[in-house]
Amino acid sequence: MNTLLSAQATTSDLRELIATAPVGEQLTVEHRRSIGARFREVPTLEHRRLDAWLVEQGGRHDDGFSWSPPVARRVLGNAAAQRVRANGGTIADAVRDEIADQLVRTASGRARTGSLSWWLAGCSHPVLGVVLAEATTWATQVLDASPAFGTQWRVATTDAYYDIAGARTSLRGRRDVICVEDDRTVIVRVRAGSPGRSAGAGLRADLLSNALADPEGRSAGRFIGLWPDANVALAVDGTLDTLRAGGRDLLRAAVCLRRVSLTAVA
Amino acid sequence: MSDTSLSRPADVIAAVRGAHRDRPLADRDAAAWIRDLFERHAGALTADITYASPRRLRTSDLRTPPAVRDLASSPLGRLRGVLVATLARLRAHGVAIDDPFADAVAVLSVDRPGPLRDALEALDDSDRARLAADVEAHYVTLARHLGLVASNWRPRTAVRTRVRVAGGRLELHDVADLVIGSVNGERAALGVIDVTTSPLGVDEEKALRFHALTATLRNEVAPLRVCVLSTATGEYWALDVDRDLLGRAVDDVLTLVAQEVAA
Repeated sequence: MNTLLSAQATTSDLRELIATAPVGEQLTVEHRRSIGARFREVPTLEHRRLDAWLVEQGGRHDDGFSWSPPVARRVLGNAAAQRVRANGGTIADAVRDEIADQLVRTASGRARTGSLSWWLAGCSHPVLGVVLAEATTWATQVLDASPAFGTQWRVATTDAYYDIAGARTSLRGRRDVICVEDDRTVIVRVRAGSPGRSAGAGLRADLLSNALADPEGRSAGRFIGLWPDANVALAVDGTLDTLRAGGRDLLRAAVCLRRVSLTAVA
Repeated sequence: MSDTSLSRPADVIAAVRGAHRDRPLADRDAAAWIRDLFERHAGALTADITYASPRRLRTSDLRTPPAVRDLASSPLGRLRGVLVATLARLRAHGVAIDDPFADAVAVLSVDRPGPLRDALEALDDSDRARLAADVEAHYVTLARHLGLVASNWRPRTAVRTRVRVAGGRLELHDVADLVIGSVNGERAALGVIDVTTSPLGVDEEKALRFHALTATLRNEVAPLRVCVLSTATGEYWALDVDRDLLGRAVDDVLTLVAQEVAA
């Protein structure tokens, strides 16, 4: 049974969700082989990346990715939140330092075309200002929730990625904050807006992707989606049932993608 | 309109922050109290509304119908409002503004395509010049009356709220131009600031109460103060947030829903 837990995004409720998380399951080599085999059965001509967003959109994806202030805020805001946690100082200064680091990366020739650094270097001063505003607001809401995270928590430096061999498929598991409680891990993902009807499926997909990306296959005990705008937190536990459900949701998204590509060709 | 002190503070930020020693204890039960009010009084009014399709309410729903309003509802008025709100956002985060109109337009230009961008691009030279002069005049007023926001006051801008009440049948949508202060302190410290390009009137008072209501439900703590600044006149109103104000905000919403049901 995979249950979706629901709570308000208050410090006390969130703290309880984190403190009462169970120990997550561990995926074995057999589990990985089984997942890989299922995805290899869904053919694709080009490499596909599956994530919670695609699952929540029912396998339909937008025309393409492009950077914008709202898109950049998560990367910059999370990095700034980690800076503040590590070094203190104000959130605004941390965001400015992050933006400056990104610009230096471009100036020194280390930025890939299409990367965040590359895009920021092409922004006008007022647009950089809005990027600063978005990232500061994002970082503030992460840090406002931090009293609930316990004493051992960190901002994730990257999302989790897992490449399925022979299936031309990568899975991406989003994660913003990683909390450690004794021998249990809880992952928190901060979202804008309010949860949609497929929010639970998205959380399961993220839970599985994060577990597969772990070298030992360990799943988080609980994966929490936090929607500060709506004052809502939803969570799924790292049980085998939930992980299997996450796999089915990702597989379904792959099948939908395949159908869309076939329809486009026709 | 409650005044926060005998001598009027120099600017909006000072009016919202007030003196630290005068701040009441944070009201962390206000959100539950509000939910209870909605549960008790919205039941019959929302009987035909389902959780799957809630009635979405925004600040604009509380305003006088557009036919009675002045030209703030015109496309140029809306563009002016969006551009001035962008400038307020930049200013709140300490971003230097060299050319108010050009800087605000540059920000709007990176937004996704939509009616506002189309309206901006459709302006002829005369309207564009008029809008530019208008925006610059509003920016001068904004810069004079907003005040400086220290970065350790945790400024955040364009803060969205989308909370459900009345068993999920009503969904309150709001966007706060500027929020300052912490939600975690022992004393009330949260300030919500709205910037409008219209003169202040009854609609802005209702909007202020709505901001207080949604901020309380979003953060599970009542704000210290809510404030609206008119960049048309330089006038600002600052209201202390207490149970009386929040109760009136709930009444505003219930009255609107009741009118819709009766219509």
